Amino acid sequence: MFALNNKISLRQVQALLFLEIFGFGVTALPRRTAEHAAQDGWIGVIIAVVAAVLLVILITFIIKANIGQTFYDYTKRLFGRFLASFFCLLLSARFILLAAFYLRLFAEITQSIMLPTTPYIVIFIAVLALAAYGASKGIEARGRLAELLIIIVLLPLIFVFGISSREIDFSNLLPMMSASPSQIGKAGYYAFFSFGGMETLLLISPFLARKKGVAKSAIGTIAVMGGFMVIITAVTIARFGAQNVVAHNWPVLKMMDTISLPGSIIDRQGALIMTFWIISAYAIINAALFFSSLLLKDVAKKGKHIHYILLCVPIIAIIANIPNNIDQVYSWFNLYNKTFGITTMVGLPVLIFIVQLIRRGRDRVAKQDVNS
Amino acid sequence: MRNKTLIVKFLTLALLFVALLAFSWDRTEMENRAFVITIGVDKGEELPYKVTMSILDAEGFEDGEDARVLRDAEGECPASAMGAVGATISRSIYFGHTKAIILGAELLKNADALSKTVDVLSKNNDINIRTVVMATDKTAAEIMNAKPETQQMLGMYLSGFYSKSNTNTAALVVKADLESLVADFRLSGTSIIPKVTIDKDDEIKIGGVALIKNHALTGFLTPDDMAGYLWMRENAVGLQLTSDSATIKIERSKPKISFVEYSGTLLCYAKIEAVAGLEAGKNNPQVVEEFQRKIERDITETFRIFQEVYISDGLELREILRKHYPKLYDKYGGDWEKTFAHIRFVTKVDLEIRH
Repeated sequence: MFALNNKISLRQVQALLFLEIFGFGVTALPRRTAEHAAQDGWIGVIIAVVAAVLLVILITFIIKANIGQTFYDYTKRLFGRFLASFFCLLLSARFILLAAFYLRLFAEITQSIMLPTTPYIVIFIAVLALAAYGASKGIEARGRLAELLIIIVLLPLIFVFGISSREIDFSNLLPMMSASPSQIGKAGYYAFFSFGGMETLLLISPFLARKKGVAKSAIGTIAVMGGFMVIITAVTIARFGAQNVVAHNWPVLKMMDTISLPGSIIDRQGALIMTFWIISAYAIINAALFFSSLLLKDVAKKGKHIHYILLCVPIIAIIANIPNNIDQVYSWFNLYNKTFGITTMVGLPVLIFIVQLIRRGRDRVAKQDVNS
Repeated sequence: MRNKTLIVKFLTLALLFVALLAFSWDRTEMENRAFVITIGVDKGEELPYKVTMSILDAEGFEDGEDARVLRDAEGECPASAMGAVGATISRSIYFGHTKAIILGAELLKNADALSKTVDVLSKNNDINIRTVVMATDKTAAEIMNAKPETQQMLGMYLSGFYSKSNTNTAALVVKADLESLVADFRLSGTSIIPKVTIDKDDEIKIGGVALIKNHALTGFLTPDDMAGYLWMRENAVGLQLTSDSATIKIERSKPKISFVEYSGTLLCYAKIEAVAGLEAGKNNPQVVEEFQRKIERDITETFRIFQEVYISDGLELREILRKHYPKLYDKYGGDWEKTFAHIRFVTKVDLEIRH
C-alpha cells in the first residue's frame, strides 16, 4: 500500500528530475547549440552535461550535509534569517519565471500544432489547474505520477527517433570539430540552461525516504539524461543539417512531425507530439508550483501549502501573458538565463557550498579545540 | 457528507468537460472541413500569383463520381491567393492532408516569386514539410485538370508514386519535397524538382526534372539527361538496364565521390559499386563490361550537362567537398560557380551481375 509519510524513494527522485528537466530542455536544444557551433553543436552538449554533473555533485554535497532539513532551515543556519528568506524568495521567483516561460512556450506550440484560435489564457488555465492540483497533492503523489509519466514521455521519443533513423544522414555532422573552441564553449554555455530545474534538488532533502544513495542517483540521472540529450542533438542535426536546424523553432518536434508511420493509419503526428509536450509542460509547471509555494510558505510561516499554490497560479499566468510573440519570449528568456537564471542556478548553490565548507572547517577546528 | 462532496466534485468536472468541449475555439466538424489534396501555384494573369486547389469531395467519393473540386484565385502574394481560394467555398480549408504541390513554369522562372511561394508554403504549419513538390513546363492549373487513370486525386497519385514502398518507380524518379526544397534554397539556391506534365491525350507523365539555379528555373532536363544523377545520388536501386544481350535490374549501388587537387584545379573521382540481378540474357565478362561502360557514359554525360550547359552544381558536389574535404573546400569553395566550371571529372563503375 502507499505510505502516506510525505517521503519519496530515490527512484521517484530520479523520475521527477528527469521529467522536470528533459521535456522542455530538449525541444530547442539542437537549434540553440547549432546556432553557435553548427554541426559541432552536440559537442557543446557534452560540455554542458559535464558542467551539469559537476553542479549536481555540488548540490548533493549540500543535501548530504543538511539531510532532512528544508532549504530555509539550512540556509538560515548558514547565512542567518534575513539572507535565508532572501534566498527562498530568489529561488521561488526563479521557479515562477521558469514556469511562466514554459507555460507560454507550451501555449505557443499548442496553438501552432493544434488549437490555432484558442486564446492563450484558456490554455494557461487548463495547464495551471492540472499542475496546481498535482502540486497540492504533495510530493508522494508527484513521485508516483512521475514514475508513470516518464514511460509516456520516453516511449514516443524512442519510437520517433527509431523510425526517423532510417533517414538520418550522418555526413551532416561533418566536418567534425570545425567550430572554434570558443564557439563550442558558447554552444555548451547555452546548452547548460537546458538543465534548468535541477536546482529543485536543493529542496528535496526533507522528502527523501532514504538518506543514502541520493548523490549516486542524482548524478546517474543527469548523466543518463545528458546522454539522451547528446544523442538527440546529434541525430536532429544529422537529420536536418546544421543550417536547417537553426531555421526550426522546435526541431525535435519538427522531427516527430516528419516521420511517416507504417501502414499510413495516422497521417499527422500531432497527437504524438502533444502527448510528449503536455506531460513535459505539466511536469515542469507542477514542480515550479510545488517548490515555489513551499519556499514562500517557509518564509511566511503562515497558512497552508495550497494557499501559496493558489497565490502563484495567477502570477504565473499574468507573466506568461506579457510577451507579444515567440521571438520576444526567447529574447527575454535568454536575457533571464544570462542574468537571474545563472545566478540562481549556479551562483546560489556555489555560494551555499562555499559557506558550507567554511562552516564545516570551523566546526572541525572548534571540535578539536574542545577535545584538546 | 463525503458522498455529497464527491458528487459535487464529479458534477463540477463533468460541467468543465462539457464546457471545454462545447465551447472550444477550435472545434471543427469533419463536414465543415475542405481537405486540400493538391496545391498548384502559377503566375497570375491580373495579380502576381494564382493558386489552384484540388479539394476532396467526400460526397463525390461515395457516389462514385468525381471526388475532387477545383478552385482557384489570384492574389498579391501566395498567402493572399490561398486565402482568396478559401473565400470561394463554404467550408474551412485544411492543408493537413495535402499530398502534392505543383509549381507552374512561369512561376519557376521568377526567383523572387518562387522563393516567396516556397517560404509561404513552408511556414504554413498545417502543410507537412514532407509534401511532394513537382514542377511543370505548363501551368499547374492545366496539370491539376488532368485526372490519372488509376487514382481520382492527382495529389494522392503523385505522393503514391514517390512512396518508399513503390519499388516499381523508386529508381526512375528524383524526389523533391517541401523540406528538401527549403533546405536547398537556404543552402545554395540550386535544386532539382521532378517534372510532371501532360501529353496530347491529357495523360499525366512524370519524368525529367526542372533545374533551379539562383532560386529560379534554368532549364528542364530529360530522363536521359538525368540517367547519371541516380548513380551519383545513391538511388539507382530498382533501375532496369537493357542491352542487346541482357537485361539487368540494379539491387544495390553505392557511389563514392572523392576530390583531389590536380594542377591548380579540382579533380572529382566518382567510383560506383553496384550489384545487379540478371533478368534476361546471358551473364559474361563482355556483358558486365558493356553495362559498366554504359553507366559510365550516363554519369559523364549528366555531369557534362550540369557543368557545361547549365554551369549548375545539381549533383551537390560542393556539399560533399565541404563535409569530407574541408581544406580543399576552404581553398576552392568560395567562388564555387567558377570552380565547378573547371572541375575535371573521372568516373569508374564496378558492376557485379548475379544470376
